[in-house]
Amino acid sequence: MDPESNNSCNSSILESDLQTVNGERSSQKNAVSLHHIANVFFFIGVTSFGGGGTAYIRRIIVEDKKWLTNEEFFTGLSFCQLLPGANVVGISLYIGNHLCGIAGGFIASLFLILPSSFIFFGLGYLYFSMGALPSVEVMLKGAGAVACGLMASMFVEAAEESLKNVVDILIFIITFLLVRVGHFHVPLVILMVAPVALWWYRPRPHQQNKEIVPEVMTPKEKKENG
Amino acid sequence: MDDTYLEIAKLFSALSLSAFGGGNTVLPSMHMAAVSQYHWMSNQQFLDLFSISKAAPGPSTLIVELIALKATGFPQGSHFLFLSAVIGAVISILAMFVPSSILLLIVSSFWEKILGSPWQRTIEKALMPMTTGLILASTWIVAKTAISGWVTGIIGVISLVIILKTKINPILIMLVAALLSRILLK
Repeated sequence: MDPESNNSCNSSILESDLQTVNGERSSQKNAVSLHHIANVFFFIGVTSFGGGGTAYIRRIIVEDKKWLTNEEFFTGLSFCQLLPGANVVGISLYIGNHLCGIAGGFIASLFLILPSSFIFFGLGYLYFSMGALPSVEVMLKGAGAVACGLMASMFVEAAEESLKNVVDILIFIITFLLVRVGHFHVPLVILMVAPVALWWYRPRPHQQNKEIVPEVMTPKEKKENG
Repeated sequence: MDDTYLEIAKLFSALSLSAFGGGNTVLPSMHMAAVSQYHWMSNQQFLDLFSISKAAPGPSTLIVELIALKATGFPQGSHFLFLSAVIGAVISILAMFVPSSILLLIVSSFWEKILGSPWQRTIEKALMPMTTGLILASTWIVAKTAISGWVTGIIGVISLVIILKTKINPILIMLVAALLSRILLK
C-alpha cells in the first residue's frame, strides 16, 4: 500500500500547531490526506445536479466531513466571488489548498472536473452525432427545486455566521439590493461596498486585546465542539 | 484546424479572467463567440448545449468542453474527428479553469500567510456580510428558474427544512424529488 495515502499531508504538523494558536477556530486540517480529498471531490463531481454546487460542497465539506468551519468556508467563498472564474471550481481549489497546500488544491479541482468532463464529452458526442437530447427535463424540475432549497440553506447558515450586528445587516442588505434591484455587476458592487466595510472593521488599537481572547462561538459551533 | 485550437485557447482564457461573479456571467459572451463570431454552431445548438450542461453532473461551466467538442470534433461538413475533439476538449478546460485558478491560488496563499493577523479578521468581518448578500442574490436567481409552480415551490421549501434539520444527503432528497416531480408534473 502506498504509505503516503494513509498519512495526512506534510504540512499538517505545522498547521496543527497553528491551530492551537488560533484557538477554537480550527477545523480538522491534520486528519485529511490527498487521498481523502480526491475521494470526496470525485464524489461531489459526479453527484452535483441542478445548480447550487457551492451549497452542496459546503454541506459535504463543512457539515458531513467537518474539514472546514463555516467561517473558513464562507471566507473562501467570498474570495471566489471577488475573483473571476467558476465558483464551484474556485471553492474546491480553496478547500484543497487550505487542507493540503497547492497539491491539495490541484487534486480537489482536478477530481471535481475530471469525472464530469468525461460525462460531458459522452453527452456532447451523443448530441452532435445523433441529435439526441436527454429528455429528463421533468425529473430535473424536482432536482432543481431541491438545489434551490440547498442554496437557501447555505444562505441561512451564512446569515447566522455573518450577521452579528446592525452594521453587518446593513452591509448585507446594501450588497443584495445593489445586485438584485440595482442590477450592478458583482465586482462593481464589491468595489463599492468593500472599502466602507473594510474601513469600519479596520484594526483598531483597543481591539487588539480582544483578538487574543478566543472568538465568541456561535451556538452551533458550541454544539459541535462539545 | 490548428486555428480552431488557438481560437478556443484565446477565447476561454480571456473569459476565465473576466468571469467575475461566476461562470454564468460569461455565458452571453460564449454564446456570441460560438454562434455569431466563429460560426461553430447554430443558435439552437448552443441552447441545447446549455441545457445539457445544466442537466449533467458537475460544474456547468464545462459547457466550454461541449463548445470545443463541436468546434474541433465536428467541423462543418466533416465526420467525427475523435483525436481533435479530445485535444479541443482538453484545451478548453485548461483555458477556462487554469487562469482563474492561478489567481485564486495566489490570493489563498496570501490569506494562509496572514492567518491570525488583525487585518485577517478585518477582511473576514468585512467580506462575510457581503458574501451573505451575494448568496441571497444567487439563491434568488436559482429560485426564479427552479420554482415554477406549486409543486416545485413546496419541494423547495420542504427540502430546505430537511436540509437544515437533518443530516440526510441532498442527493437522496434530489432523487425522491425527481421521482415526485415525474409523477406530479407529467
